[in-house]
Amino acid sequence: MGPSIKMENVGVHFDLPQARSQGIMNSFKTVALGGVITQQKRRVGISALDNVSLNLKTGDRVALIGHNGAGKTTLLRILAGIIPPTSGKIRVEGRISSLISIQLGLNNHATGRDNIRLRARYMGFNEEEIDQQFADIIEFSNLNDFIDLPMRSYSSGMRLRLAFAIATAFRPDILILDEWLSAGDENFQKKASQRLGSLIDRTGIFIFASHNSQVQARTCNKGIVLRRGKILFRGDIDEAIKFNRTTEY
Amino acid sequence: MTSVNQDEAVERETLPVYSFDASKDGFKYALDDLKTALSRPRLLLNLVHTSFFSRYQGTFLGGFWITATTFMMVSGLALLYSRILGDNLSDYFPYVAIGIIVWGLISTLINEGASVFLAASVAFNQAPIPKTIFALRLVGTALLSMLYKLIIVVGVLIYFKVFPSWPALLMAIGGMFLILWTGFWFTLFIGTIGTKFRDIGQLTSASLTFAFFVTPVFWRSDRLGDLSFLITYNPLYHYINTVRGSLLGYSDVVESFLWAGGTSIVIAVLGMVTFCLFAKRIVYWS
Repeated sequence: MGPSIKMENVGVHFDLPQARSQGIMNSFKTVALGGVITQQKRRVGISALDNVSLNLKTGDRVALIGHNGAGKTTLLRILAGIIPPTSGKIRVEGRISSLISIQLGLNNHATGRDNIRLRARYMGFNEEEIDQQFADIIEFSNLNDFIDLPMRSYSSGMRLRLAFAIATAFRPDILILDEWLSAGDENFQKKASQRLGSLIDRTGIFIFASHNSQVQARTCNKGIVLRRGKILFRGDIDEAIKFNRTTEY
Repeated sequence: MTSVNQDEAVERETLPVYSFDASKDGFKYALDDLKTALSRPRLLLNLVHTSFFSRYQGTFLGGFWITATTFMMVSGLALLYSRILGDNLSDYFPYVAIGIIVWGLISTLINEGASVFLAASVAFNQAPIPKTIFALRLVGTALLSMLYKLIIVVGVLIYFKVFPSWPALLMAIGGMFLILWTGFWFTLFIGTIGTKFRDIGQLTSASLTFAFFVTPVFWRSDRLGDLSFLITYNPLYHYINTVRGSLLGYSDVVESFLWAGGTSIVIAVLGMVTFCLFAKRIVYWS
């Protein structure tokens, strides 16, 4: 069986109270989700995903294709368990790892070594798993002696290299990627691409949102075209990319 | 071959499941959130450590700045007000020291509780991190800063030769944990509604200023006369008294424990219900 994902009629709709009035009980959204602005009487809302159903199983490598605000990132966040949908059902079997915001949780005052543990715990991995990957992360990040210095002494490239090394060290059952990750100079970028590619090869299900159809064609076997929160097309990756290119919307 | 198959079988059995049905799973969502938070103690310790010590990064005294700050405030109050209120310094100093310190714990939990999810929204908007862990982080940092302040309490008790009995000490510690326990559930309650209604945070901090003056924190509770209802029906007083009354051997401690215990049950229910109903909305509100 292995990992699987099942979504039934999943929707993400919410009201924007501040668009309606400037009353004393004011609240506002900071999550940028895009989607469709809806209006019922005086209630202004956003429909970021509408009636999305999905059925993914082991071996699926799915490219999410669509313009800004089409719902790609919202869909990824629903799958990662960050946002609970407002309608519909979702069931995900398997360990998910989302490579969204890979620097989140890093502490500038802690050493590189401490940050490996910090960030890996943030991602939900246990001590045993961290111990197993520890040496590999240090080696891959190529930080040498800097690994024992506080991270505020790092250049932004070094910081990113460490974050990348941690994020790609653990093999999940389901991998979620929002745009291709890259880090460092030309040499490192090649290494990083290989490492990410090998991680993708080893995961059961891979879901990849991007605007780069070349990379998607190379890494995925299926494609889903989203438009304004709805699935417009699903099928073979090449057909999906062709559909996205040729269809006016 | 067989060993590979066995490995696969093991892997299959242990696959974690995340499921959510928007029409009925709100309660399950809240409960899963709480369970996940409790299952990640090391992450919690990291979060507590980072949020507490980042404030004192690079300072010579570090966390002991809390001790120093509190000591200055307490000794200033005690030296001046023991004269103004006509009180014996050796009675008044321990009274005001413990009062201010316990009040500090309570007010931190209430004040920061209202913005607990707003302050952490960046994290749980980007990563699948349980929201409850940030309520636990608040309780953890509050406990940690309390520990730094307890140094003053110990010093003051020794200096003024107040030696509580072992049962009294245990009661005081129990009172402190009662405050932390109530604070956790109150944070889930006020944090959740404070995320939706942004005025709640301002309202609580305004009310707390008022409460500071009508609660016997720095003035003696036995001087109230016909205003004694201010303490009888004031849960904040009872929470303070569970710690202070125990240490200083007051007669109304048992009554205070009953009041504080009752209040903590009400607040725990309130926190559970609020969080269970609205946990799934927090990410949309924040």
